[in-house]
Amino acid sequence: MSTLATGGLRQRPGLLLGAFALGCSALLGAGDLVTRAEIRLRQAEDLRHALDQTLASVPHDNNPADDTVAVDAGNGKTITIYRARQGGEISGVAFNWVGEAGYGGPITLTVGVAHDGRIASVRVLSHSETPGLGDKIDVRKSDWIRAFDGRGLDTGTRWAVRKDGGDFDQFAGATITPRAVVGAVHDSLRFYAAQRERLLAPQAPASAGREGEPAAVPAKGSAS
Amino acid sequence: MSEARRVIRDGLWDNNVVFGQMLGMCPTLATTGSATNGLGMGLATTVVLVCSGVLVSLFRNVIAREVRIAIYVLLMSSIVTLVDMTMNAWMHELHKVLGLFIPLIVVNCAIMGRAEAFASKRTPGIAALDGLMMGIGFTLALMVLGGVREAIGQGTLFADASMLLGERFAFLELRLDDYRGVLLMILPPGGFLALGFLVAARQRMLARARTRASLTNGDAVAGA
Amino acid sequence: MTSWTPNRSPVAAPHVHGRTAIPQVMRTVLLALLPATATGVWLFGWPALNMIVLSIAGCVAAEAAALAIGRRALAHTLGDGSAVVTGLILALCLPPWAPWWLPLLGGAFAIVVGKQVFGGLGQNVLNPAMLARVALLVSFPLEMTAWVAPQPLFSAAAPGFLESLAITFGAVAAPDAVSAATALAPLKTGGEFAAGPALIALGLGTVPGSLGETSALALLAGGALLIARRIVPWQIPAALLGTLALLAAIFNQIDPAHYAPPLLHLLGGSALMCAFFIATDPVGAPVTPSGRLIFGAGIGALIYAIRTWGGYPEGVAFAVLLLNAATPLIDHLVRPRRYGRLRSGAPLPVIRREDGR
Repeated sequence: MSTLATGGLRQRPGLLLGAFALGCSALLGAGDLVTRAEIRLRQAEDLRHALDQTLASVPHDNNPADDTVAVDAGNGKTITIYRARQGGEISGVAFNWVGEAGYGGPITLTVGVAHDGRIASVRVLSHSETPGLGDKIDVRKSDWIRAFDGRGLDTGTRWAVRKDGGDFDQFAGATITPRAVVGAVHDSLRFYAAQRERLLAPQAPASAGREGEPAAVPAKGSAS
Repeated sequence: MSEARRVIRDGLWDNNVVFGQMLGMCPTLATTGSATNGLGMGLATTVVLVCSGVLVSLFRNVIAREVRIAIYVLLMSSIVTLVDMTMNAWMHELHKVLGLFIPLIVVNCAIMGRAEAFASKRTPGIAALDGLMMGIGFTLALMVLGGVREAIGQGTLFADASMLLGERFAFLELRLDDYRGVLLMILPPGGFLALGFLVAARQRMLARARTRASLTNGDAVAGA
Repeated sequence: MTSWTPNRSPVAAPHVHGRTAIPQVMRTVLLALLPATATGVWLFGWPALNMIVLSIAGCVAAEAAALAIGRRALAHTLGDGSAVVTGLILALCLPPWAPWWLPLLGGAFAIVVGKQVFGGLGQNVLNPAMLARVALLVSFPLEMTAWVAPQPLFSAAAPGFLESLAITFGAVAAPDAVSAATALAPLKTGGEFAAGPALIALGLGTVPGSLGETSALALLAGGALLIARRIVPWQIPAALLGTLALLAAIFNQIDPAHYAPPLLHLLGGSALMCAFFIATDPVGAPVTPSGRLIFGAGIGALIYAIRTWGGYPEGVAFAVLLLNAATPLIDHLVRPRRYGRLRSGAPLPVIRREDGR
């Protein structure tokens, strides 16, 4: 019987191909079912990890990855803001900021800002600077990026590299990259200052209805 | 038995995918920035090679000649997708490093080559052995290439091996402290340079072995 | 090498032997490099001399080693001086106070990867010195862009000979006090372009830059000698410098604040060195006059593009390598007509005389 069936299939390549396609699809579907939840978990962990890094110095007891609000950056782009809360009060926010071009193109930063408008920490998300020269902005290569920690618009910081009369070191052999990063961090802080009221409003303007969580939180906050 | 020995020798040295057949150059050059990455890519490819070998061999009497290439592609892409999903779920850190290249295993000519030249004519057992040996040979080649590039390029060996293999393998990670590193070797041109010199070294070994063999044969004739 | 005729198209046999041998050519090139070398050593002091010695030593040692590994006679190419020329050109391209391992490594890389891997002199596709320069620039961007201000020999600020050994062989980098930016730096970092008296300094060479590339006058003197002796064809330097100047002039007219004036492009950086001594290396350049014009123009255009829009401050080495790689294509495009044949290769049509003979 089976030889007959296989023999029949051999005679009909189209049917054979269809059978294999069906088998493979079933296999892939099963694989997706098994791994889907796990992969989603890993991706959430990635985001959480990145946010924890930038918001490490901000006390929070929620998961900022789940507490987001989209803010219009003014140039047609929306920026997703991740909010850290301590006892329901917003203690800081983190967001991705695409800076002006460095030596090799735009530099994307993840900026964490504490409630008081000071930088919690900055990390470089992606860049294409010259390896060995400009890539010292990566925290894995050098501690330079930590120089921003704790600085704000009101801390008397001169937001420029030393060569331009500012407070931040440039690297030996590279000025453009640090200049771009310093400028981007400064811009992101000004963005935060301009949007502060909206970002820190206990009621999230855009997503309050969707989440439900923020509505419940102030009550908890006032109780404590 | 001798056939199995032949298959093992072929896969590991005589007919090595990288150094002998010069196949799969894209993953070979693209993923060998470090020995660990080479190892990970090699292992993933090995899994695909064994699975595709067994499947192709199992169905060798069913698959009609006219549609065999289409069916091979179907089988391989399904296996690669499953490997991709599995790694994303349970080897997430490595997947972040290799993620871009895993789907490219589909177009690794070595896999199609073994399916067409070997697995489609042999029994599943020997086809699995062939896939395993070709895969191990590929893995070793990638590891050597990655090791050379990593050692010259940044003065480390098996950096981040614990990420791939677990904390128990952290002892593999070596690091030269006062070494600046030749960045070129980590960048794409370094892949071509290292591969060229390794192939040249292998050719020299083969040539030397040939001369020695012909010399001893000559002696035997002279002695007789 | 044998088919190389400097200023004429290749023509069919019979040929007259030119009595020019490779060692003789190499001696003339060395002589032509002498003004630039002497100026460089005078401007940047003993460390520069150390570097020239190390670079040449690296090249010659690598050449000897490669010949030994390939089991070829050492006299084969070691004696013709080509390794010395490569070493000197490489040294003149490097920052004058570079640490000792930079010229040694570069020299070895130039000879092994740039030349011997392809089969030795005359077989290399790419210019060995430029290959090494690119490899060093990509690998060690910090050391390769550490320029110093000129401190002429025997002047008060110049390092003594013992001090120079510390600079070359010591682990300490050159102090920040002497580090400086090149004339091309404003192209990337913004700022004023050199003009007026600053351009005269560029002509004399009293500016920060590569060891032997700062003095336009010295390079022009050497280049004139090479062209007068017909060692290099005039088409390559003319097309290269002409294209570079033309592009710079056009963009400078459009937006003078943004695009540097042509004189800065010609005098600053490595353009002159490249035009006379690097792009003219007969091994990697086309053999016909029209091919050489295309070759030179291509390098000039690429230099301008990389300097203006590229990721590196100086594009000479990349431009030369790219056009080296395109040389077979250029030679194919403009190959001369064979005697008795049409340009397409078909035989000449037979023209019947009207008088019936």
